[in-house]
Amino acid sequence: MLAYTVRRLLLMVPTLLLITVVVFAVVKLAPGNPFSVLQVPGEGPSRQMNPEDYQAMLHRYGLDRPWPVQYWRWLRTLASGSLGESFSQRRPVSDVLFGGAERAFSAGLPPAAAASAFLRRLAESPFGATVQLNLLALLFMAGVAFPVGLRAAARRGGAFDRVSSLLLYGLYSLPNFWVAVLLIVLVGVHWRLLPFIGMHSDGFGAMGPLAQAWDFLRHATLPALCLSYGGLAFVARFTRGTVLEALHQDYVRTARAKGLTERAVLRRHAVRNALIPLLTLAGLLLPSLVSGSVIIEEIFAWPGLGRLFVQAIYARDYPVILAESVLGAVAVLLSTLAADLACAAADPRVRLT
Amino acid sequence: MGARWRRGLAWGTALLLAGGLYGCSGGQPKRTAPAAALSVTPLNRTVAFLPGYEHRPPENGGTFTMALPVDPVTLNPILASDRVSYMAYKWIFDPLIDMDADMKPVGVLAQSWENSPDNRTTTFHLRKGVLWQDGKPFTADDVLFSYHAAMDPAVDALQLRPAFDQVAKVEKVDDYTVRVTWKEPYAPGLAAWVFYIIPEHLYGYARGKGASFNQNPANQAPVGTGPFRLEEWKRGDRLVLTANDHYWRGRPHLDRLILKIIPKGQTQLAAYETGQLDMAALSAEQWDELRTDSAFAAGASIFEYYARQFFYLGWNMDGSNPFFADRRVRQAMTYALDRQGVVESILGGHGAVAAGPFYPMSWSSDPQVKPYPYDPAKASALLDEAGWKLPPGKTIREKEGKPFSFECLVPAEVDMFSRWLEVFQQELKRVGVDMRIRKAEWSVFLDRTHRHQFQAYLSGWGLGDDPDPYSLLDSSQARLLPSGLAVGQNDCSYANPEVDRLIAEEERTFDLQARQTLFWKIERLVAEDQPMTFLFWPTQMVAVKNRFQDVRVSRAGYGMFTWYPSLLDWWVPKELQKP
Repeated sequence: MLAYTVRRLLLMVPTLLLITVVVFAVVKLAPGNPFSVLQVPGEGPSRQMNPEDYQAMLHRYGLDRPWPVQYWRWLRTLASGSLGESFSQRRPVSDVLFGGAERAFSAGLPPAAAASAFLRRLAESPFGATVQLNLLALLFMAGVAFPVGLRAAARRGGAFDRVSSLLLYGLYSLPNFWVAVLLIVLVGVHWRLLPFIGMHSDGFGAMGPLAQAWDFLRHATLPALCLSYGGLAFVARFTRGTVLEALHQDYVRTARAKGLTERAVLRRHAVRNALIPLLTLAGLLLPSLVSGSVIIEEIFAWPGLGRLFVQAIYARDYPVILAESVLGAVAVLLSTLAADLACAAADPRVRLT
Repeated sequence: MGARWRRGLAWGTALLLAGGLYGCSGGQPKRTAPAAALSVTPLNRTVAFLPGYEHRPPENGGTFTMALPVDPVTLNPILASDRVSYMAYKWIFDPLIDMDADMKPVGVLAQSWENSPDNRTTTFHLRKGVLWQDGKPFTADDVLFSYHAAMDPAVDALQLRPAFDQVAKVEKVDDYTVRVTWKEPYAPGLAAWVFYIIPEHLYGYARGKGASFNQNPANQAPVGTGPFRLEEWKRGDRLVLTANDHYWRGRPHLDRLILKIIPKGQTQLAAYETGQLDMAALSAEQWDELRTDSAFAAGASIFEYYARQFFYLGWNMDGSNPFFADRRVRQAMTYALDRQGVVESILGGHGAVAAGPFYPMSWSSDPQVKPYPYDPAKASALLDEAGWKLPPGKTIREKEGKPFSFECLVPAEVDMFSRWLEVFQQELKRVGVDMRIRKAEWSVFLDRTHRHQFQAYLSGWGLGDDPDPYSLLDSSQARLLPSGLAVGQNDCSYANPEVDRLIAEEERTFDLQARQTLFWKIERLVAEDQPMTFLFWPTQMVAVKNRFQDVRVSRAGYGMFTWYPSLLDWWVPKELQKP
C-alpha cells in the first residue's frame, strides 16, 4: 500500500508537467501578452504607447523569448519553490492566491499564533474563499442527495422516488446564473433575508468567533445553494442506482431470506456494498473544492479563485493562470488517489498494485 | 412583488455578458435629439430633487459607498494603466493640474502656470504648505521625482510616456517652481500634466532600477497629497478611504469613501437597492424597468450624461481591399446606415448620432457639422458612381468581377456591438453590399486592428483631456513598424495632407479661439472624407442616493471622475447621515 502510494505520487510529477506544458502552450497560443492588453482605446490618445518602449518592457519580463524558453524559466522558478510574480498585480503569485499566508511562519511568531495567523490569512485569500464556499456546497449536496437517493432506492418506483427525481431533474435543468439572480432579487432585495455580496458584513473584524461564523454562513448560503442544487440530481440518482444494484445481489436476497428487517438489509448489506462507487464519486467531486465557479463567484461578488482566474486570463497574467491550473490538477490527482486508497480500505477485495 | 419577479427574469438573461472587461467605462450607452440640441441636465429633476437643502451650507460627515468591478491593480498612479486603479488612486493623490467642469485646465498642486512668450517653456508655481499624508512637505522635488520615474525606461509606465513626448526637460527653479521646456511649442502638451504626483521620500529608488519602483511596497500602501487617505484595503472585498483633515483645499465634506469590489450588472443594482451602495450605473434596460418604480425613484438622484466616447466603424483604406480607398464608397456606407434608428431601437434613445470625432459638448466641435442623414438612395447612387454596380439578377454589387463583400471585425465581449452590426448588415444588404460579422476576443481584436489586418472594424474611441486628434487622424500615425505593429492609432490609414497640415498648426496654436477655428476645419474635412463612419455618442445613466447634495453633471459629464473638484463638494445633511 505504501509503495503503491509512493509510486502514484511519483507518477503525478510527469502528469503535472504535461498538464502545465499544455496549459502554457494554449495560453501562449492566445494572441496578446500581459502588456498588449494595457492598450485600451476607451482611454484616449494619451494612453497609447511607444512601440520600442513596449518591446523593451517585453524583454524586461522575458516575454520576447520563445515560449519553451519562457516555460523553462517558469519551471525553474517553480523548482525553487516559488510560484513566480503576477504580471498585473506585481506581487508574488502566492500572495495573490493564498494571501501570503505562508509568511505567517516566517514572521517570528510563537507557533500557535503563527498557525492561527496562517489560517486567518488563508481563509481570507481567494483560495480560502473558494474552498470554504465549495465545502459548504459539497456538504449541502451530500447531505441532501445521499438520503434522498437512499430512500428512493429503498422504495423504488414509489411516490417519493418519482416526485424526488422529477424535482431534482427540474432543478438540474435550471441555469444557475438565472437562479442566482432570482435568489438575489427575491431573498436578498425583496425579503431582505440574506446578504448576497461578498463573504463578510461591514465590521466583520470586530465580531466574536461565533458571530463571524454565523456571518459567513449567512453570506455563503445563497452562493452555496446555487453551486449545489444542480449536482443534487446527479448524486442522488447515482446513489439510488448503486444502492439498487446492491439490492439485486444474491447476498441481499440471502439477508432477506434469513429474516432480517428491510431496514437492516438496506443499512448493513446494501449501503455498505454501494460505498465503493460512492467513494469513487466523492473522488470526482472533491477537486471542485478548489475550482472556483466563475459565474457564481462573479454574481455574488465572492472573492474566490474563479473570479481571479478569469481576470488572469483577460490580463494574460501567465503565472497566475499556471498556478491555478497546477492547483486544480494537483487537486484532481490527489482526490483520485485518495478515492482509490479509500476504496482499498473499505473493501479488502480491492488490490492496489 | 410581481414587478420584481419579472425584473429578475429579464435581468437574469441579460446578465451573462455584464462582466466588465471591456475598457470603456461601464454602463450602457441617451436620448433622441439632434446632436446639437442635447442637454446634460439631470433627466429627472422631480425625482432627483430632495427639497429643503438648497440654501444650507454644506455639513461634514457621512460615507459614500460605491462599487469597483474588480480590485485595483496598483495604487501607484505612475504604474496604473487601467480605469479601475484610477478610480481608486485618484482620491489619494493629486495631479499637478486637472480639468474643471467646463473642460478647462485648473490648477491642483500647481497654483498657477504661465508660458514663455515663445511658448517654449511652461512654468508651474506650486502650492505652498501642501503636506503629504505622512506629514512631510510637498515640494518641486516630488514633481521632478514623479516625472523622472515615469520617464525611466526601467519603470513600467509606458502608457504615460507618449504624453511627454514633446517635453525636452523638466527643471526645478526653486522649491515651489518647476519649469518645463518643450522641444517645440506644443499646445496639447499641457494636458499631460494632469499627472498624479507621488512622494519621493517613500521610494528608495534609483534610476534604472525598475524593480525597486515596480514592486515597491508603497504601491500597495499609498501616501498622497489627495483629499482621502487609504485606511484599509481588503483585496477582493473593499477599500476604505477616510477624509484627509489636512487637505490643502480644506477637508472633503464626506468622512469616508468606501469602494466595494462588486462585479458590474445585476448585483451592483441589487446592492444599491438594499442600501449597500450609494451609486449604481444603470443600463438602458434597467432604466426602463426602474423609471416606473416609485420606491426606487423616491430615494435617487438620476443623471444621464455623455460618456465622452464615440463608437465608429473604421474602414481600412490602405489599399489592401478594393472597397474603402474610394471616398464615395465610405460616404455611401454612412448614408446606408440608419444610425438614428439604432439609437432608438437598441440604445433605447440613450445616445446621439455622431457627426465627427470631437465631443459635441466641447469647444472643439463645430455645431454646424451635422451627421449624414439616412439616405439609402444616395448610398446606392454613390456606389454606382464609384463603379460598384448591381449586375442584373444579382443582389450583391460588383466591380471588375469582384463582389462587394467584406468582413467587419468586432470585439466579441461587447454584446451590444454585434447587435448593432446585425442591423447594419441588413441595411447594407438593401444597398447591395454584403457584410460578414467576425467576432474576435478583445486581445485578438486589438492585435489585428493594430496590424491593420482587417477590412472594417467596430470600436470606440475615448477622448483625452486635450482634443488633439493627431494619433487618430494624422497620416504619420498609420505607419507600420518592422514588428508589424502600427506607430499610432490611425488604424484606418487615413491620409489627407490638408488635415495633417491643420493638425500641425493646431498643435502650435495656443489661443483657444484660433485653435477652435482649426478644429472646426478639421472636423469639416473629416466629415467629408468619412475615414470612419461615426456612429453614436452614447450616454450613461447613474443613480445616486439623494441624501447626497451638490452632486452635479456638467458639460464635461458626471463629476466623479471627469472633472475637479466634483466629489470633494458633495455633502450629506446631518440628519440624513448614517451612523
